[in-house]
Amino acid sequence: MKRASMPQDIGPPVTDADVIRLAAEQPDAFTVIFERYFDDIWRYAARRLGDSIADDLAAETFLLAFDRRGTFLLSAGSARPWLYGIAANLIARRQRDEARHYRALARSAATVEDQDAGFVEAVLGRADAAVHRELLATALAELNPEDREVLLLTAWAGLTSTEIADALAVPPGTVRSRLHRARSQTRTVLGRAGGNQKETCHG
Amino acid sequence: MVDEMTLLQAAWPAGEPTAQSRRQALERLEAAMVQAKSPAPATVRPRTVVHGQPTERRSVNGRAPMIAGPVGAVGPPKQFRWRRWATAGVAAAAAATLVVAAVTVGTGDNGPPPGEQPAKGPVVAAPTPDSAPVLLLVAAASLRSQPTTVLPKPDQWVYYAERNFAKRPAEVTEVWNRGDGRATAWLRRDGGTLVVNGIGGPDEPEYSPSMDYSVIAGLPTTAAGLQDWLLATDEHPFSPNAPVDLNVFDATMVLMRERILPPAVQAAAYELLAQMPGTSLVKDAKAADGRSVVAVRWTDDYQHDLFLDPQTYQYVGARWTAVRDVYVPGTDGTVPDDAPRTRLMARAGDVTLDVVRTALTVVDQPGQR
Repeated sequence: MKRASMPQDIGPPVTDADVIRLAAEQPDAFTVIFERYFDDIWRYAARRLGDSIADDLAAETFLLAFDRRGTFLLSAGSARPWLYGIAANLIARRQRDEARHYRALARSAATVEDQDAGFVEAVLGRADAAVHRELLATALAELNPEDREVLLLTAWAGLTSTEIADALAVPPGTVRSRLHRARSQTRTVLGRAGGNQKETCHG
Repeated sequence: MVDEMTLLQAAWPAGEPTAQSRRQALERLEAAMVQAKSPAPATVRPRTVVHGQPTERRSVNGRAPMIAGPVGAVGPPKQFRWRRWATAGVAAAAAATLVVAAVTVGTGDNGPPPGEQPAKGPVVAAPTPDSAPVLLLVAAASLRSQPTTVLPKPDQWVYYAERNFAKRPAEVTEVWNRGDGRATAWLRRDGGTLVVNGIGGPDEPEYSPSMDYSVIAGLPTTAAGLQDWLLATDEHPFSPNAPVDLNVFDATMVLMRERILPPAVQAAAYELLAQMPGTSLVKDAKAADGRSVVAVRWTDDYQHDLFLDPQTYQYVGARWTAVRDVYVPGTDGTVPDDAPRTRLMARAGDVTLDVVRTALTVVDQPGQR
């Protein structure tokens, strides 16, 4: 007689926790995590440090994550915030590179190629967009590194306060206060765009 | 109102990593994985006892402390990091060996013929995973990160060629399926006349699963979704009495065999197989044409081998070998103990299917290769 089995044998989609659990015994499984998140981590690193440093930093992130796969909380589900946390710690050691990157962004603000007819241009118009880019880059450079981390994990990585709290191992309340501080400081710097900012923002 | 968060998101578009940066990062990770699998050199440092101790973490969020579970229990040995740097040369050498292996496989006489779609996948050979589920998950993840495949237009054709080595001499099948699923063409084996046939007419059953690429383009991209779809199509389950696993395994193979699938659909197929109980992995299998392959194996009356390319994870072929005498089942799906020999379908050891795909590509006309 043939073995009979029910469709229920087939479980839900394979979660990151499943993969990392598997990687405890079969390290190769960790490749799945790499394939799922390398691009995300690279993009985040590239926006903060530039493309060439991002190559190295993203690679380092996955090496560290692999080494520390035992520290991933299997109850967490997605490995994404955890990986951003590792990347953030690596970025924190590169403050000089990051400052240099923002200075470069501020300088090149007027010459950003808008291949996609950039959203900022669409809303603010070209000239204002350049001004805003420059001010944004300046604001980022001036922020306290810890506040900046929370601001950018929110804006660029799309993480929630709770996810950031997990990623950085700080209480959620701290995350929220850092985010508040970073946002108001950024608004203040953007205010230097002059009195016309309010009007153009309504575009 | 455009606030500072929106401005931040829009100010600098996110770029994309280059294929090279991706590959180099993956190579470094793979070197670390090779290190993790091989025992530490005894001369360097004695192993410190860090495994076997569950690593308890205190929650910073006021939640209950969580144990990291089985992974924490096994734990990444702390020596990984120094071992990686201390033996970077060894890792590089190992990676180099793997690349050589990949090249050898790719340039042998048995490589894919010119007509076959360029194989996509990791450029550098990863160390072959140790179990079928891991291999399939790695394959699926690799597929999911690939750009969408170009599917045929409704009036184009998908040329598919296969050799079945279970027949002597090996039987060649060449088929063209139209992109809209409404016609199929094949070469007659007696002299090579091309026969074109409509599908879906009053006397012509539709392919099942569908060969219509407007359907294929929208197939489910999750394992559960794909399973539901496969089992709901007309001819699946193949046999109402066959176990679900068999139907899943075979349907997945049928799906991949002569269809160009969007990478996410093929990934879902692999994830579906990965979740199937009872699969095993044969790492050093050979397809009938001599190509080195990995085999995902599932056994009931037959040993069903699904052959995948060890570098690109693409479908290569399949082999069915009877593991015992197999009889035509009765209407209730069982075979009585006194079944007559006339109902014998295969003797133990018989290879009833031994196919290798030699082409799968989009062409403009039937008969074109």
